[in-house]
Amino acid sequence: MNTPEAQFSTIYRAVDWINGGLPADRQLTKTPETRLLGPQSVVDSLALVNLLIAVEREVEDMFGISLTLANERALSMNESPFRTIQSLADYVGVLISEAQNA
Amino acid sequence: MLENKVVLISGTSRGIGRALVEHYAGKECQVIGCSRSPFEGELRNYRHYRLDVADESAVKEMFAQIRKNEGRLDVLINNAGVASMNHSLLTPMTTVSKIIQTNFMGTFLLCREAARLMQARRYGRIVNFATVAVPLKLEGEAIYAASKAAVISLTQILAREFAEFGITVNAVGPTPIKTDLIRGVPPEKLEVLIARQAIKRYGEPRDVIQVIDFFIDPASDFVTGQIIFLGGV
Repeated sequence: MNTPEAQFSTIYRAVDWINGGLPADRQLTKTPETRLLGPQSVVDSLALVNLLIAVEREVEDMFGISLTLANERALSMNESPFRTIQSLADYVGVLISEAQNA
Repeated sequence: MLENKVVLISGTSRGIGRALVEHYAGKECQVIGCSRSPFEGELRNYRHYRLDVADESAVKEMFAQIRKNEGRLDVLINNAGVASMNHSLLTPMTTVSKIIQTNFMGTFLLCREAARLMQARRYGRIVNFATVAVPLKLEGEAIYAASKAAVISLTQILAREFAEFGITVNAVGPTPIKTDLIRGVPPEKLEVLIARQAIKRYGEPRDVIQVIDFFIDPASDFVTGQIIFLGGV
């Protein structure tokens, strides 16, 4: 089911995979407030790319839906959906809902 | 060494692509291929998709099925390509679009989707196709050579972007090989072209396969961003 719990669970599995390749002092914490973009983010641009692709993979496994997170829509938003884990979860939820209702 | 590797090859209905399928299927790889035309005959460890490599939704669906059936991708060989020998002043925009879409956009799209799949296991080998028409600045092939020059630049930059994922990206640049791609080229023009090679003969599929075997060897994990032109060009 496309619930906030399922969305966070999906993202946190992707975070676990990313953390497996990051040094100990650059691990992503699994909280909604964790920043993914900007000066307070602990991830660089490559790690963010890795995270988004890992999230797409987890969404496909969990929901059977193929998403492209970094699409024109995301890139044209005034506020990036990739700012925090919370905003990412919200965005993933919207995309899953749209795909399920298509 | 390549046994059981999952290999995706584009442009497999004939020519070099067909030869690549037979070679890697013979090496006990699990081979997946695609082309706009059907694949004639059956091979035990080969699966075919009919699609246009520039069709994003069809390509994404193919990769979704690879992920579901094989669970991974080890090798991508971007062989699909079209050409049209014509003076630029007589080249219509429809021809330009078709060549750029198939040769460059199709190559990019398959690289992107393959890397997404390969990234999960932090391993992959991508081989793109260039052409000696680029360094030889071949008159009559302005658009074809330009599309392949773009593939060369793409190869070199993707090699750097994908390196951290454990994916190497290289390209092979064949000389003229007797396939449908050069069917419309007058023989005398081909002879002039071959005369500019250090080794003056037509290429054969085995020459291309030799280079690809080297690039995709698991031991070639320190070789990336390289373009090997055949015939000493």
